[in-house]
Amino acid sequence: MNSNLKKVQTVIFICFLAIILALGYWQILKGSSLRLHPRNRYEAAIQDSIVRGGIYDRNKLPLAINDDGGNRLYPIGAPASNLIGYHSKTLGGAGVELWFNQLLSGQGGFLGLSNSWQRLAGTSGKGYNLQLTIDAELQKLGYNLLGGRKGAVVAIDPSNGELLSVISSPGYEMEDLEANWSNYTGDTNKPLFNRALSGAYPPGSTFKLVVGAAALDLNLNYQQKEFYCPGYVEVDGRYLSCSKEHGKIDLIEGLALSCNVVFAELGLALGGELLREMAQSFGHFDSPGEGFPAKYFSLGTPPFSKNALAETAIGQGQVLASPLQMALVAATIGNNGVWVEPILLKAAGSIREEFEPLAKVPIKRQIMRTDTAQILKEGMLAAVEWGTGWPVKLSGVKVAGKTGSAENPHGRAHAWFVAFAPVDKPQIAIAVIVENAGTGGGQAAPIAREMIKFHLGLR
Amino acid sequence: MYQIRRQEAFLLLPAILTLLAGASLYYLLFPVQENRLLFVVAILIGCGFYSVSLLMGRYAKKAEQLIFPIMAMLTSVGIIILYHIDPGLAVKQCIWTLIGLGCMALVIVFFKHYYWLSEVKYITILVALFFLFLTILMGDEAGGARNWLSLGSFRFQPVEIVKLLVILFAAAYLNEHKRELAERPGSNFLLSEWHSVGPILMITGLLMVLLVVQKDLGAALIIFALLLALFYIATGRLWAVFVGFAGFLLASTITYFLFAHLRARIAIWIDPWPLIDGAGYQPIQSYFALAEGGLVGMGLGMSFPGYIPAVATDFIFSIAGAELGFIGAILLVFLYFTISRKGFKIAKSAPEDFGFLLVCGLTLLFSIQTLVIVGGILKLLPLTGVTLPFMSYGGSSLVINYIMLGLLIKLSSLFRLKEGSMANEF
Repeated sequence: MNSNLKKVQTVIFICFLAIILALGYWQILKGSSLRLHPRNRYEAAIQDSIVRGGIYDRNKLPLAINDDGGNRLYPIGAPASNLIGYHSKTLGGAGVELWFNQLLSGQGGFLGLSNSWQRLAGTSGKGYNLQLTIDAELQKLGYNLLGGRKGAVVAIDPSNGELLSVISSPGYEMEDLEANWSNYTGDTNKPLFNRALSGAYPPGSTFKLVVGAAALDLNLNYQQKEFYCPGYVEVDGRYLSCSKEHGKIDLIEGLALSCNVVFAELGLALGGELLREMAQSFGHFDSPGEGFPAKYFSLGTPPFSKNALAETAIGQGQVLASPLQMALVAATIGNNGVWVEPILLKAAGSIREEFEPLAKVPIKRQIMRTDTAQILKEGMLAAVEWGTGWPVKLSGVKVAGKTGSAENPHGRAHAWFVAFAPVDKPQIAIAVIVENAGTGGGQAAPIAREMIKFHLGLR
Repeated sequence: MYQIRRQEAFLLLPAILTLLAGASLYYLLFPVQENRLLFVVAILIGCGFYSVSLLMGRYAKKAEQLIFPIMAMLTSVGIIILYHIDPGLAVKQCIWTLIGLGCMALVIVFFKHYYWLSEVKYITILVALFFLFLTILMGDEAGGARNWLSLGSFRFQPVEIVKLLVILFAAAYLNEHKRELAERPGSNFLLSEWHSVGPILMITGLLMVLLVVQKDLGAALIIFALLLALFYIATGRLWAVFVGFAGFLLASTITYFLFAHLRARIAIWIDPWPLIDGAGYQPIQSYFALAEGGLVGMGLGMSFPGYIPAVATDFIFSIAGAELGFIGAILLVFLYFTISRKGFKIAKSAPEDFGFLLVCGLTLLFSIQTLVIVGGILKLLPLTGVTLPFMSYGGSSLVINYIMLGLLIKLSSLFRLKEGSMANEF
């Protein structure tokens, strides 16, 4: 009978083993998919038990707060809609409400512990109030300047990477989002799409700054080199036209007048690899520490034909960039070649109006020589003083800028403008795009001008 | 002469600390007058544990020392989880624990001989059948099964007692007939031993029919598996196990077509997801709870037990999985497995076959019941509403489990005392 018992014991042992394997299946293997299952109420219940933190701008103006009835209010409205986004049980989430949901719903850090405790006690916990680097007034100004046209503006403080405004137009009304959802999703102007961070546009002539940086970093003597512009350039039998016949022209003049010939020739001289390297160094080459999605340069797939290379060098062809990316190009040049990681979150606090700065060392990196940046600055200054960027000119402060008119398959050229000011110690760098609006100098530069003026407090 | 059982006394400490920690947690959260009662109850139960241990030092000196602390630990974890589900239930469970401990003490003190149990086997099984008949005639229905008996304001589930009685009968019967039933070369199964096989076959059939009529399919499954395993241990006839299994499948198929509520159970076992708003709601909420637990759990008292219907009885293990995580759940499973292993070890120390079969039966019942409910929760088996020993809320189940394992522990002491002597004298 003992041997029979042993067999039965073995069967029971196997059954207990099966129990442990099944536990592993439900708790570990299927764990994450079950936690995210739409019918699972646990995550929602955890968040429901928490008073969501508010979102404030750099001057502590409210961008998103709760009223006494527990409704989420967005005092800033459409101008920051794509940036602030939404957090909804039925629609999911977007923007800051999604990216910093962990903080807003108090799931991390000290508040997370205290909230678990509150939940146990049956009282409601609270999330962190967030202070963004955004300036609400600047944000509204830029949005109104776009005036409903499709476009985007990104303004950044070049010295520390703080994003001053992230504007995408058209926006939407966040407060009755659920009722209007189908209108927004069906709208061909894509109001729910964050053009400022995720838009992929041909950068047009603003990309010449990157080409110039790559060339000067390779050899500073490119500054003295004399080019000749007959009004076009021939590459392998194809003609690339220039805006006019510039004649003898150097690099700084090429930037000021946005001469295609100069940069097509520079691009051909540099080759695809050097261009790609420089372009990528403006992007997010470190781990995304800040935690918001953004689109950086993409240059298409090498090897590039000579034609493709010449087109890329003037910001057409396969090269694509987001407004954030172009703002970073301007900021880096303004910051003497030091790239600074863009940040959106300035401080967090568990008590209203009291914020603790986030202890985070910004990622900085010298991505081009100081001399290179200096020469590019001169070019951008010249563009504003006597070149294509003249509409941005302000009295009392020196502005550096670069225009772009990006040809695209959707109609008229996209109007681009990138700038920073004041030239010697920039406080703001900006990139503006207005879709299918025409020339950068005519359509985008005035927006940059007003925003710079506002930010620097000029009358 | 009282003798302190050092290992047991030491291992009881974690259980009592668990209770005290639980009481502190809930008192800190809700510092109201009533919650001071939690400390009183924790201390009372702690005293109960040590009293029983002390009694064993006097009346069951050589008894096994690991099983009782594990019982205490499982009970304590169950009570703490119940605090969170419903403090009222937790208080009742505490009272039931004290009653269970009292019953266990009676078994330890007064149960001095065991062999007489084999002499009264037909009375035992008649009492069992009587209980089942009574339940069918006068029982109350709860949760789809008609398996409650009320005596005034006192309600209990007779099936819990029936399980114990069936073990007593089966152990005695198989001991008496083991020679005729055992596998011999050239024996012609079922025909030549008809007079031995017949009665147990009939009684098994009768039990199954009575349980199925009550719609207590979980108990039917457990008792059948128990009898089959015990039959195999006694006779070594693998053949009979296959025949029995085939018979069970056949009977299940017939039941499947007869009872809509079994069809529903099978349907949610195969795929609960399309039925999420109906019958599948309960198991799916339990899967969500388990998933939410993940590796390390949400923390004791941090889950949302309100989402799972019948959480205090059938699904307490899901809440344990949610709050203690994979690691905690494995530890619990390990505790159950340890009782099972120790039980079979005690069986092997029996001086004669009735004691051996009796302890095998008790251990099998405990193991099978655990496997059936946990396996049901984890979708390894169809769900049947049976209790998880020591953790589920339920007076009858808790008390009977204390009595059964008390018996097991007492037997371990008797076996050691009587080793080498003629067992049949008792």
